[in-house]
This record gives sequence, structure tokens and C-alpha cells, in this order.
Amino acid sequence: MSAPSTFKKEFLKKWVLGLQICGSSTKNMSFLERKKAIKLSADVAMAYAKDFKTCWSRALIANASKQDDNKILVRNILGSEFERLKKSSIGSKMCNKRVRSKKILKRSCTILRIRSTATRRVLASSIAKRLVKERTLVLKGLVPGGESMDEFSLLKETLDYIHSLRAQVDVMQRLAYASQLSNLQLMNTFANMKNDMRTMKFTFVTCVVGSFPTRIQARKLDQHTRGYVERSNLSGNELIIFE
Amino acid sequence: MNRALPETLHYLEYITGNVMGAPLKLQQQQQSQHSYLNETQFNVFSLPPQATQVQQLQDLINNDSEVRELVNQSMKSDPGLENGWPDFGKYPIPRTGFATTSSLEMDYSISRTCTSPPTVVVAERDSVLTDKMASTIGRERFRKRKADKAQNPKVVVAEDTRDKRIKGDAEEVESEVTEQNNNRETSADKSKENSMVSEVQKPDYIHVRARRGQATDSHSLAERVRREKISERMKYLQDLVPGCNKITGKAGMLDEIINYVQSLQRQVEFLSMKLAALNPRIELNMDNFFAKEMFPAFMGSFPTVGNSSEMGNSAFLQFNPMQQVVTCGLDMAINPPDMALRRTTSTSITITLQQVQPSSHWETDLQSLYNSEFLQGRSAAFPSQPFTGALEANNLKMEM
Repeated sequence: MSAPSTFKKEFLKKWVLGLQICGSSTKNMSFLERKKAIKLSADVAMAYAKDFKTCWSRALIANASKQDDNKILVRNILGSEFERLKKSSIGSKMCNKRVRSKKILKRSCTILRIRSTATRRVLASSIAKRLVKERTLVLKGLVPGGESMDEFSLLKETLDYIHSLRAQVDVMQRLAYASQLSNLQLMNTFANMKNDMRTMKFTFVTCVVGSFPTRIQARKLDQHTRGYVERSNLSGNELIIFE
Repeated sequence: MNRALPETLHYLEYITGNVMGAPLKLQQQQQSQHSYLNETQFNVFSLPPQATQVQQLQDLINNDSEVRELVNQSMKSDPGLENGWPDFGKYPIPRTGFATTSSLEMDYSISRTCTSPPTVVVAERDSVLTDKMASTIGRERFRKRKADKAQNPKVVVAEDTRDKRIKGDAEEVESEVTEQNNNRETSADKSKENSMVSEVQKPDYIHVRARRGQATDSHSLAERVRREKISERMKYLQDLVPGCNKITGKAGMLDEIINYVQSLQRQVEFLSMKLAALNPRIELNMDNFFAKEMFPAFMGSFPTVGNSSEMGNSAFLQFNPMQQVVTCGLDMAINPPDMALRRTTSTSITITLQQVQPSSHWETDLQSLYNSEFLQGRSAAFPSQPFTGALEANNLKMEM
């Protein structure tokens, strides 16, 4: 399984890079801003790690760059790749229009044809076809850049997209876990310090501690006492509620 | 000639009187990649109850030089067929997963049909084989014959076609072969077949059919190719999406895929929220510790490493806003964070809280510190410095 792990490493590297760039621009971001920045850099990194070979990765970048505030970040992260990408995306836009017009034509023809031959068998199959078409429409909405693809390439892109999403989720989970543990560790040490050494002067300790959101600290202590065994997303849920 | 396979399979399905019906057909379509399937068809014919007929057939074919030539020509491109053909009389049943079951099913049904007039079957079969060598012609004919069962054309037409094949030019037949190869009749519409059946009766039906077939068959050919590609992709997706094994229809599969993609996207959102909550500042670079070992280490990192109590507790937190930490070769082994949990409350605990400055000497600083603490297990005693407000420029070490 070398390909997925290399993809993951690439993704991680680029994501961290993106995070740094995001963080350097604005200080003291709110929770939502941070979350948006994290997600954006994760998506961009995922697309970047794919080297923009797939359609969805290019579409992802295009969507991300539509908003002005994100555009700058994206450009910074990508660097030179951005310009190259823009050039290639222009060509794909023309293809999209052509595909779309062709589909409108096809759709109108099939509707006429179906109405004329109204045997029961044909109706049943047409219902099935309509179901499939509905679902493919939904899928097209989900996969970035899917609107302008025919069914066959849509499936291929979906395959790739699912694969990359899984890797992304995996990396993010590990990262979240690691940071959670290290935070817990820190809290643990502080707690122990507090418990053991009340007599010593810990002014500096309180200063350090004060930099953390206090609620998180308190809750993490609780978690520590409960035990580290339950490291599931559930604990993450609790953390998130705070801010 | 993998393209020929589904058609020959359809053909066999036909011989068995469409006993299997739709599921087998679907399977056959999906398995069209396997060249083994050629062998399964031969297998069918080589079952013991049909051994005599097989022998007859083989003799027939071997005796007829022209037919053999035709057979060889059309078999050149298919190594599977080539391998199969010499061993005609003696096949092991190939183990190709479902293909074996389907071939077995076909076997039973064929043995059943064998009890009916054997001559017809022989005639059918030998024309089957010759047609298979021609790759599509006989199948078409048989499928069309379905509409004309009452008219008793089977033996007649079979004989006719066989004779025709033998009599006709090798080139002509070959060109038809290639044409038929191109026009894989794929239309399942009975109406189309009915319209084509009338062609069968005409003396030079081959030409007429080819011409007409070309008009419609190219569409159906393309449609068949497209459908097969889509079903292949759906198979891959079935493997990728968990819990899709039981669902067979396209609509259901698409539903599952949609659900899965949505859940993955939601997971990403959720994890990004979690990370935002966990880290007060976005540039969390303590994870760079794990970057090098994230994947191997995470497997075994959480069982705790038992370290001696003298070993300093390493609460390395680095708040590192402006640095390219990724590139800063952090090659040191990080003690798994769980180590802190096992820290005993005995003598020496060294806690190092280090504020990293965006400076180049950070690296060397850190490394030296690290070396001193971990690798040598020394619990250093550092004087605690007065803290000046923010965590900007203080090395904070405390010994207890």
C-alpha cells in the first residue's frame, strides 16, 4: 500500500504548509475562522497532493478560488501551480458548456420518445432510469466538478475522490488524536504540578496556563481522570462544544 | 477476443433454452474480461455425456481443412482459445470463481437438452463452434431463431449455414467475420430480432444482415461497451464503499455511494472543527513531531513505552508561528505522549516548556536540549526564569 501512504504524507506536508500560511496572515482568529482555514488548507492540500491530474482536484481549487478571501490563500499555498492551473481550467470550461448543451438536447429527445411508447415494460424501465438519473445528479453535486461530466467519467472521479477523502480523513484523525493527547499530556503535567507542589511559587505556571482557554483545560482534566481509554470521537465532541 | 466472449456466452445461454435467465447474463457481461471463459464453453461440450458428440464434432472439424483454417485464423488473436482448442476433449474445469458455477449450471442444462434430438444438437453445436470461431454469427442466428421456433428452421438453417461456411470463400467469410466482430449484436430488443429474422431465411442473408446490422449494431455495440465499462466501474466502487456487497442495482449502489461521500465530507468538516478547537492557534506544529513517524509510529505508539522514572517527562509544546518546521529535519524520536501517563511521582521530573522563537538557532537549541534530556536520560536542573508575560521568549524549565 505504498501509494496511499505516500499520498498521505504528501497531503500532510502540504497541509501543514498551508496551515502555516493561513496562520501567518491573520492573528487571533476566531474558532470558525480557524475551522474554515483548516478545512480550506486541507482541501487544497488534498487536491495538490493529487498533482491536479484528476478533474475533481482542479474543480476543487477552482471552487475554492471563487471567493476572494480564499483566493489569496489558495494562491499563496499553491504558488506557481496556480497559474498553470488557471490556464488548463479555461479549456475545461468550454468543454463543460458543450457537454451541457448536448445533455439538454438528449434529455428533451428522450422525454418525447418515452411518452410515445407507453407500454408497461417501457414505463418500468423508464422509472428505473429516472431513479438512476436522479441519483447521478445528486452525486454530481457532491463530487467537485461533477456537473460537467458524463456518467462514466463521473464514476471514475467518484472512485478517486472517495479514495482521497478517506486518506484525508485518516490523516486528520491522526492529527487530531495526536494534538489531543499532547494537550492532555500538558494538562496532566500542569495538574500534577499543581497537586504536588503547592508551596512553590508558580506564578509563571499560571501565566502559561492562562494562555489556554480555561474551559478546555478544565474539561481535559476531567477527561484525564476518567482515563485515556476512551479516545473516540466522542471526546472530540465534548471538546468542540466549548468554544 | 474478449469482446466475443459475452456473445458466445449468450449463445450458450440460448442453447440451454434461456434457463438461467437474467442473472447469468449479467454475470457473463461482467466477467467478459476473463479469457478463461472461452475454456468454459469448451468445457461444457466436453462433459462425459456429450463426449461422443464432442468427438464427432472434433472429427468433423479436423476433417474439414477449410473450416480448420477458418478456425485457426479466427483463433490467432485469442491465446485463450488457442490453448483451449487443442485440448478440446480433455478439459479440467477452470477455476475462475463464478465462471465455474455458471459453467456447471450450463453443463447440467446442456446435459438436459442433450436428451432431446441429438442430431439437432450436434448440428447446432458444430455450427455453434464454427460460429464461435467466426465469433458472432451463429449466436445471432440462434437468437433470431428463437422467434421462429415453430418453423423448424434449426436443423435446416444450421446445415445451410454450415454448408455455406464451408463452401464460401475463406476471405468472404473472414470479412464477414470481421464485420460480425465489429457489429456485435447487443440489442436485447425482441422487435429488432424479429425484423432481422426475415433476413435469416434469405439465401444471402449474411450480406443483408451485415448491412442492416451495421446501421443499428454500431449503436448497440457502443451501448454494450459503455454498459460494460460502467458495470466494471460499479464493481470497483462496490469494493471501495463498505456495505455495498449486497446491493446489485445501479440505483441502490449510487445511493450508497452518495451516502458514503456525504459522510466522508461531514467527517472532514467535523475533524477540522475538532482541530480548530484543540489548537488555540492555527499553526499547530507539534504535529510535526509526528510527521515523520505518524504512520509507523501511530500504530505502535499508543501502547506506552515504559521508561524509567528518571527519564524526563517530555511535554514539548512548540508554538511556532513562523517557521517552516516541516523542513527543519526533526529527526529525533519523539517519546510517545503516553509516556507522560506512566510518569511516576518519584524524584525528578523535568518539564520543559519551550517557547520557540522564529529564529534559526531554534533548531540547534532544541536539538541540544533534546539530546541532553532524552538520549542521556539526564534530568537537568535548570533555573527557573522569571516569566515576562506572553510565552514569547522564555525557556521554561522546572525541576521538581
